[in-house]
Amino acid sequence: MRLPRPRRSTFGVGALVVAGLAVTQSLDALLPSATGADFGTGAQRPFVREGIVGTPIALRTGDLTVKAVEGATTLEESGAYPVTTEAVFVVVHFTWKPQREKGTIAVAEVAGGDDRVFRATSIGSGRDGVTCPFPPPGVTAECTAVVELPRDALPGASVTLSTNAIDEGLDDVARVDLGVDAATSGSWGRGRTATVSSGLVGLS
Amino acid sequence: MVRETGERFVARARRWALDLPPLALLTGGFLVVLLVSGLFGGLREVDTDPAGTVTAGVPVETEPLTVTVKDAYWVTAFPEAADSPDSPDSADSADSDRRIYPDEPTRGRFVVVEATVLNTSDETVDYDVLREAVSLDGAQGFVSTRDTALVPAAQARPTYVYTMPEKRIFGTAQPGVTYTVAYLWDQSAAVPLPQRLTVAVNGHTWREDTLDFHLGWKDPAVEATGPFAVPERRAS
Repeated sequence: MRLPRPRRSTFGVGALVVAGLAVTQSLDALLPSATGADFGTGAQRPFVREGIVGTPIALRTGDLTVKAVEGATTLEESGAYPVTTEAVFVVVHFTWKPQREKGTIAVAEVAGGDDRVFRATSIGSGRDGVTCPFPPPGVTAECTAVVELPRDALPGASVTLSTNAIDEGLDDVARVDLGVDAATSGSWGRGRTATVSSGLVGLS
Repeated sequence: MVRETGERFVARARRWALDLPPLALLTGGFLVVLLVSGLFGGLREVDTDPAGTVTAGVPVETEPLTVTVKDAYWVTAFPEAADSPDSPDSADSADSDRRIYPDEPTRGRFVVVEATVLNTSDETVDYDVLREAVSLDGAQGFVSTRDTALVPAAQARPTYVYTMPEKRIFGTAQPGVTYTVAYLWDQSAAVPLPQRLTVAVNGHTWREDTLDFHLGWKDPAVEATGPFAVPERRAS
């Protein structure tokens, strides 16, 4: 059997394919990796909107304002037995106003100063979690996010709030620094009681 | 012509293989498995460590949790002393929505294991893993979450897992935080409990999911077991 003689254009196509592969390879090396990464990491990482307490943070689907961040060792909630901790509850009071669609804040994640990650969601009714209504567009909701964590994670920690329960990748998330350093972490919120509250502003 | 050569080759290979002694075939098969699995990271190591012992008050260190079993008993309602005068809210009777409402078992009996659980990993551990951390063995007549028929204790998953004393669902365990929890199994009161029930603490393996490639704690495996007397506990 004889192989057909290659034409000149065949070499051209071959060169193009090789060039395409080379470009893809270098782009893959250049861009943040998506492979081997979990939800919301690498190329799928969220767009972090850093903010401060009291100033609205504009997210893709709505506006979020962190009203206060406090520490507590006792947690009270209407209709529920109070909860106490040997560690500390990070309590974030915030408002959320969706823009064009109904929406809510589903996840609060504290990145500890020591690389540990503390995640609480709106699902379930455990000791910590996110309590936030699901308001229609233009209506402001008052919400509370609670994350329980050990005190040694407090210095340098920040809290991230997201609208997506499972995968916050490629979407806006709001981040606020807790403002606790090594000197204050031991006493932050010790002996204090925080209240979990939620509701819709102007509708009650 | 190529096809003919191929057929002749297959026929020759078949004759050659059939002529081999069985021992050579077995050895050959073993070598093929070894070589092929080697290309994909080798066969998984089998955990041959003997299971440890669960003793009341002694921590069992597993991944990702350290579990200390404190007590085991059975009740007809949980918590059994919901309305006792010791409860901190009974003085404040006006605020009645703050009392803890008891759960009733569907078949007459809750087997309760009280424990403390510490998450030693660097990330939040979720309900599925927490629920599998403690299991029972050596008894019959448990209510299954999947099946309508009663199942042996080893197949039963706890009906509820609560943090105590506030009785919230133990849905997340944050890194470095120790939780006081109660595992509740729903058992038929018609089936007698043995003198001693085996309480097992299970560990998990951090690995990639074979279907969606996300990392997680998987494959619950018994890390330690211990016999526990399970007396009835009544509201005093």
